[in-house]
Amino acid sequence: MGTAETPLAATAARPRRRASFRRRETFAFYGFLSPWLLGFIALTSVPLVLAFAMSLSNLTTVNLHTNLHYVGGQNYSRAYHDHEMWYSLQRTGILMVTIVPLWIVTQLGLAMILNAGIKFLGLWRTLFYIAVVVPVVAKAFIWKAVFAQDGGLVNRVLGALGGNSNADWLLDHPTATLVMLLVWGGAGIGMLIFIAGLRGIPEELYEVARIDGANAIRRFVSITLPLLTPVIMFQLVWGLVLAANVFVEPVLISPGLQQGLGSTVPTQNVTVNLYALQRIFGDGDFGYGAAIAWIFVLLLLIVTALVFLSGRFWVFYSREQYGK
Amino acid sequence: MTQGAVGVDAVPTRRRRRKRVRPARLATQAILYAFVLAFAAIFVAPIAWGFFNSLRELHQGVSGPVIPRPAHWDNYRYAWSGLFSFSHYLWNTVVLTFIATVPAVLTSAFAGYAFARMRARGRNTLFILMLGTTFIPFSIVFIPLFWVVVNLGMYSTRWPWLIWGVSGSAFLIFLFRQFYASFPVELDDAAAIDGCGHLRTFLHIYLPNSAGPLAVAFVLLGTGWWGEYIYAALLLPDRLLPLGVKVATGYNDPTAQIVLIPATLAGALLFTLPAVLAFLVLQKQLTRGIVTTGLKG
Amino acid sequence: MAGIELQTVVKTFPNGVRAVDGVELTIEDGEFMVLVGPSGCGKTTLLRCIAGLEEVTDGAILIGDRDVTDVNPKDRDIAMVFQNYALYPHMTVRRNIAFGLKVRGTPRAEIAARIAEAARLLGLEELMDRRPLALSGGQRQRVAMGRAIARRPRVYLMDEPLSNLDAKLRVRVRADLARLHAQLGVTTVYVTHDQVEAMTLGQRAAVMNEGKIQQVDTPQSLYWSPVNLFVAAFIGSPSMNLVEAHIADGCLRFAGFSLPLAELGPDGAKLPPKVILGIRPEHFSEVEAGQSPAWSIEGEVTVEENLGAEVLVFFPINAAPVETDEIVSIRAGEEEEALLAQEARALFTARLPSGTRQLLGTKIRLAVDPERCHFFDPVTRESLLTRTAADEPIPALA
Repeated sequence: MGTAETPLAATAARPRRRASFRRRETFAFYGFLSPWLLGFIALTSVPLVLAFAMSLSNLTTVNLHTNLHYVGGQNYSRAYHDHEMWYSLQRTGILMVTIVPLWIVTQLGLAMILNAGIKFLGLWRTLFYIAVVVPVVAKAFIWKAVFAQDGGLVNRVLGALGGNSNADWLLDHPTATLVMLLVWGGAGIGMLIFIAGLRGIPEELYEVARIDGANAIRRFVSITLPLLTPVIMFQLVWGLVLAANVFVEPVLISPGLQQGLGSTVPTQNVTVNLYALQRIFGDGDFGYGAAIAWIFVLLLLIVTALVFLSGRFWVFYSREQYGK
Repeated sequence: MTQGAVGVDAVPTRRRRRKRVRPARLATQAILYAFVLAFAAIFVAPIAWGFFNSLRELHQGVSGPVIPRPAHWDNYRYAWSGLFSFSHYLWNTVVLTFIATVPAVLTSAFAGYAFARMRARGRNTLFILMLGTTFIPFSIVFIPLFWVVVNLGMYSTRWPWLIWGVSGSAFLIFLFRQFYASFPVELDDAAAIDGCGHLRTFLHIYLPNSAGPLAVAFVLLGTGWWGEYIYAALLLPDRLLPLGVKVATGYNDPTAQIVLIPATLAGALLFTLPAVLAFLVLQKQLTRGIVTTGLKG
Repeated sequence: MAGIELQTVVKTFPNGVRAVDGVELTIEDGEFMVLVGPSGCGKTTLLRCIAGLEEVTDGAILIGDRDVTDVNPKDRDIAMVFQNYALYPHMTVRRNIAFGLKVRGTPRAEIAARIAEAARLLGLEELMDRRPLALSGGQRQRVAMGRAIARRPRVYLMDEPLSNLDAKLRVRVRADLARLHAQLGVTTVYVTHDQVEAMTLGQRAAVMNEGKIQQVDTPQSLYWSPVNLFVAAFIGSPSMNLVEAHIADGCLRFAGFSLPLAELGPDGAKLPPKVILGIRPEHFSEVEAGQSPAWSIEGEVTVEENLGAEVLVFFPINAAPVETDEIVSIRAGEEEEALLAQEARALFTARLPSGTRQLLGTKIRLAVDPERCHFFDPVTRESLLTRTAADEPIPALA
């Protein structure tokens, strides 16, 4: 193999002999990647740097103004002393810790139900998934109708069951309402991913277990869960990032008319992203908003890194650790 | 002496016919279906509720009989043309979705192939970086982006959407990369022997066989952009707004300064319909696509 | 340990396919019974019915006089070895073997003892703390067996456990399996599509086709006294040569050959006017100069395969190939299909001792012993004349 005439075939394991081929392949590689790469630079790297620069300045309008100067860590120390900012971080953390387990449990539960061999599989799958494709705006208004104080679906059901039918969910329990909305709206995709994961477990393992005498619960705990741990890890990390980034839904389900970015959003629902944006579009304080954003990025990075590293202890990696 | 053969003609001693259903099995089936129905109801109920409430009298909230009587079907006509031209904003939505989705899917497919099948310096680093971009919170990117967009004169235009489109999506790139990595390497070899370089191999072999991931990509990204709210709310003037924003703010009774809930719901449902239809049409491909790409992390 | 009785077992799948069609079978306590047949004949389904992994549509299954037809797999006291071993990938070898015992609440000391015993028997001591992914195919297979042995069930069920091993390893493991059975003496039901395995491993073998058992017998009897065309064509490698012949003027005629019926003795009179004649390749012998055997045919050798110890020669004869359903289903089950389109003429095979001169392209004359020939009714496909097993061992298997 690998003579002078070998054409430019890309295979995983065969080394290139000639330097020119390698050069050409590198060129082709970056060519294929160019649109994304340009986007990466323009939409990710540059903004990150810019945001950092902003956070060190006193930028307060959209245009560069003559008073613009370097202020060092002033924005950061201001953030450090800002109670509202810490509160928003706390609320974001609460959201993450509440939503992600609910997501995983719901998605796995739905996936297992769908995988249990029921009829009309496609129908149920569609119904479970449909909430995902509904646009945010529609979801929000539907949710407002469901949780409305006067005549909302939830209050009606509660009333029929004999409980309190007068709760003002959107005002008094904004986070709970928000969590339910996100769980309802986000269960679909994760469910599909778990279904894929479940299908990856050979049926024979269950059969051997059945013959050995394991009942359904035992099979779930000893076979399904351990073999699903890579998928769970994936969903965990992805879920944490998604939950941390929530900020549109709180705006849309806030009671009353929205004006701008949610002057009417209950503080319990103001996540960090939202808080930063409020500082910018409300106060025009770019520098401060950027500082908040950077603090958030670093915290999120640390959290996800920790979660990911914890995988050594509970995730079953099929290839990396014990491969031949 | 050899034992005789037992074949078709041997007279079988019939054992009693018994019903083949074990009672335990029946119970678990019942519980299973109970769960299925309960969950299905929970998931669909809000949408149904939204629909019922879209038929109320315009100035009502959501109180009144569950199914409104009389049902104001003309709310839908009102949502279409009563306060603003629904079709105008629908067109906006279509344009924005298109220019943000189509290039993104293509870019992501190309990038996915490159990560899966090409060897080059820095490939693995770039891949990790790419995955890392999904971790970056919205605000830290958007804040400077907004500033740049305004200063480059792209505020109040559709240009940002095109840029987002062309730059692809990390999640989609991951999807395509996993999918293409699972192709048999022999396919590449055969193509190479037949004279194809990377471009040809990708265009003639990989892309045509990508129905699953392509469907997933279009549906996921497309429905995401279809319902987009925040970028449009912050970057576009009213005449370019997609329905994602217009529906939220457009149905206000001009005299009383309140939101016309039934009309908003009607508009929202009209707005939702195309996304749901697209999903229904492509759903078989969608589920197959996610299963085959083996998203196991 | 226990015997197994299958009473009119029927398994019909929801799509209407009758995978198992009224099977009656008695397996003795301690017996090694092989279920063999081409793909799709129902053997695996039958095994899964015995295991309880498939629900029987009709009929009954008894294990050791206990009716287990409605009993869960876990209560049937069986152990199963799968074709793909089905080892828990996230557990070490030790845990894999222990799992079934732990689930049943076996005391810790007992588990350890059994694991040690299984490990000793199968040579697994070094592998106990490894995971399946770090093991070779043969090692995984041994672990799968160890798991079954440690359970000490009354019955072992094995579903083509050797098919994923390479050829040389397969021969070795086959011998090991036989040894193991001799040592442990547990009733075993073994499914395979490979008739060589059936012949070497089984005390008895049940040949199946299309959900029905064609014949249950010792390997000897299956070889020497097949009851119908299917069994005759399935057992033996290379396959038995088959051709349609008719009787006229006291001779058996086909492809221009005329074999005097008198050589068959009184049996000859029992034959109907049309028969299917079967001759095993190993029952041909080359005609030496000066010999005039009673029955002989001749043909031109078109293909010659020299296997070292012997030679296979292929020669066409002027008759159409026998293309009954059974033949087609056997061939469909084989891995290799003909590369070129079928010829219009039947191709006969003869197995001759090597050392003879180059035969390719030459015309050879082959003699055959009438007592070794098989005759089948063209309509019912049943064997017409009883053949008894000779005392000779079955000629060397491929």
